[in-house]
Amino acid sequence: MKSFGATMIRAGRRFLSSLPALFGVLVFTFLLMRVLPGDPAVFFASGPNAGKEEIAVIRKQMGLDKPVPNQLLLYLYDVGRGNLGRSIMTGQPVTTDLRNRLPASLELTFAALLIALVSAIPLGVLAALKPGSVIDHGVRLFCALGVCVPTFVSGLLLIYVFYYLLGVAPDPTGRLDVFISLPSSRTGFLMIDFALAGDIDGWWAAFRQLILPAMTMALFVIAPLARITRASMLVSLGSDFVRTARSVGLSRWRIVVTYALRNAILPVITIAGIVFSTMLGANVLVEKVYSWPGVASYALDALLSSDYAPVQGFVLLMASVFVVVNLLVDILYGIADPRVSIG
Amino acid sequence: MTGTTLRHAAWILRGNPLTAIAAAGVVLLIVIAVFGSQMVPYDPIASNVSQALMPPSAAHLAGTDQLGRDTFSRLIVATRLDLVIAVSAVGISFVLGAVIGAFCGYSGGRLDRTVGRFVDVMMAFPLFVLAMAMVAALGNRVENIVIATAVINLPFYIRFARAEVNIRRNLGWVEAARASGESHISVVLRFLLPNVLPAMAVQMSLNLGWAILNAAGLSFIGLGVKPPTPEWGIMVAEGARFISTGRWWLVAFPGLALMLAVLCFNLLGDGMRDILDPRMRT
Repeated sequence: MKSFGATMIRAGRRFLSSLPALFGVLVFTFLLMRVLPGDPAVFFASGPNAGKEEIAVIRKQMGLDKPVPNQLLLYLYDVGRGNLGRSIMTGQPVTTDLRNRLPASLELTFAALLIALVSAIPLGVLAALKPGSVIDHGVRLFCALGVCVPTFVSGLLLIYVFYYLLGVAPDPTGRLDVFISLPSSRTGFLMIDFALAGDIDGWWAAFRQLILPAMTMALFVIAPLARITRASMLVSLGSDFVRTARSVGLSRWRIVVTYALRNAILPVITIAGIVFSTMLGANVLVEKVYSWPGVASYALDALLSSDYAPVQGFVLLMASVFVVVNLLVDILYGIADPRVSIG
Repeated sequence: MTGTTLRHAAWILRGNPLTAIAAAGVVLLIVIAVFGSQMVPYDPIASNVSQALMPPSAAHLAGTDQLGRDTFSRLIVATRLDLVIAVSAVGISFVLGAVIGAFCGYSGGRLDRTVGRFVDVMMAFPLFVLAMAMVAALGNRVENIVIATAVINLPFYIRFARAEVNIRRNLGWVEAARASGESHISVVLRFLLPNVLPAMAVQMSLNLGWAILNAAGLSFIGLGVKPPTPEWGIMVAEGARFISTGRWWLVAFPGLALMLAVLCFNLLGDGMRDILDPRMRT
């Protein structure tokens, strides 16, 4: 219990030290978006024939006539109150749009991380148990190829194989077939909502829709995870405590999983945190390939139609998720290895 | 001098067949990039609608696209653009990152802390998203893909150069250079940087693959390169519309080109790192 408290303190300290970075992100996106081409006042105006006066009035309403530092202060004030502005595309507040779409992205990313971990850790462990064997070389080859295939290519090829050739996957667009009725939304995570509603057919339909995009994203990140698991397991298997465990005749499973793997898991957690944030970036590509209605495709559409507010909101959201993930990694560290929190 | 270096390199490559193959692949890529547009069997831009969407055959090795353009010719011609984008982007961030990082590592203090903070902020971004936003902000042109890719690579080079210089700044020979009256700037540029460069070159080769993927990703989502310019990422994007009706060659071949290019750079980088520092081998 005491060590848990220490972990929380350490995690809290790390969290506070990441706040300036978050603030930097905020200012940086604000400035970046000011350089974007296109005048939002013109977009907001009633139509292409809107007169100069009307545009000037809208500029004034939006605060665009003020000097940039004042605009920045206004923006920070708004963000502080939880107001991220309004999207020109959808006409909705950005916070509403993001809240509606975030579960789709998170569901996809978590599913991908789960698939990646479940396949990468056993692969890495197997490779480390028999270094130089066929399995080891196979894993290395797989890893070397895995990081070379762009996600958008592997996604499209998976569609070709599973949708066109084998016909086992559903039409690869969106989260759910249009003919299936949505469950009453509680969390926004379809898998959880269907399970709560007890709708097995719906759950299965959502699962089938999710599995291809999640695999696409997982394929790209299995390599770093398997590689670090292998390297870390090799060190751990060669250490004295494993030799001792072997010499007292413990079962192989117990030696490998309970002792060696637990001691090898820290670097894997670190890499998993990093991998998670690269996946947030890769979301843009995967969501585009599968027309997945997540936050990344929303931001991309906004970006291509010079709509500032959603892009700012999206980047801020991504940076915040990144901070939260780092926090989680810190806490997991303390749970996986209590020695960490003492230092 | 160069003769000995080359012979030494050849000797090393003989012991590392995989690295040798990767090096040969990179040389081949460069040859294709330079001479590709003169070797192709068809005009990469000319459309021929009577031959649209043909699967691979003897006449069209990689099939044709919806306008009847020869995919193989387009792939070959695209090599130059893809390589130029990646190499110039990585080159820019290599030079800037090395100089900034070296000065930070050497001087320490406030400069180091400010730059370090800035690097942290950049790394807190999902980098691909940052590149996206930059291309949109600066304008939808190829030069801006280069700039965006360079910027998102920059923090890694700054960190790397900073760490490498930092551990050397108090070594005897640096002390000696200072004592013999060299200015700080000259110590960094003439003594420290050359010692850091080999390790950074390895980093550069590993980074090139990533830069290729990034640039292709940007053009895949419609930023930077515009059709009908042949480029691997945009070729995949154009072929994506036909994948669910089974026209696999429009996606598979540009994808294969991307994969092979990235694989060559990665293997070369890995091999160079093993040669330079055998302990890093995993």
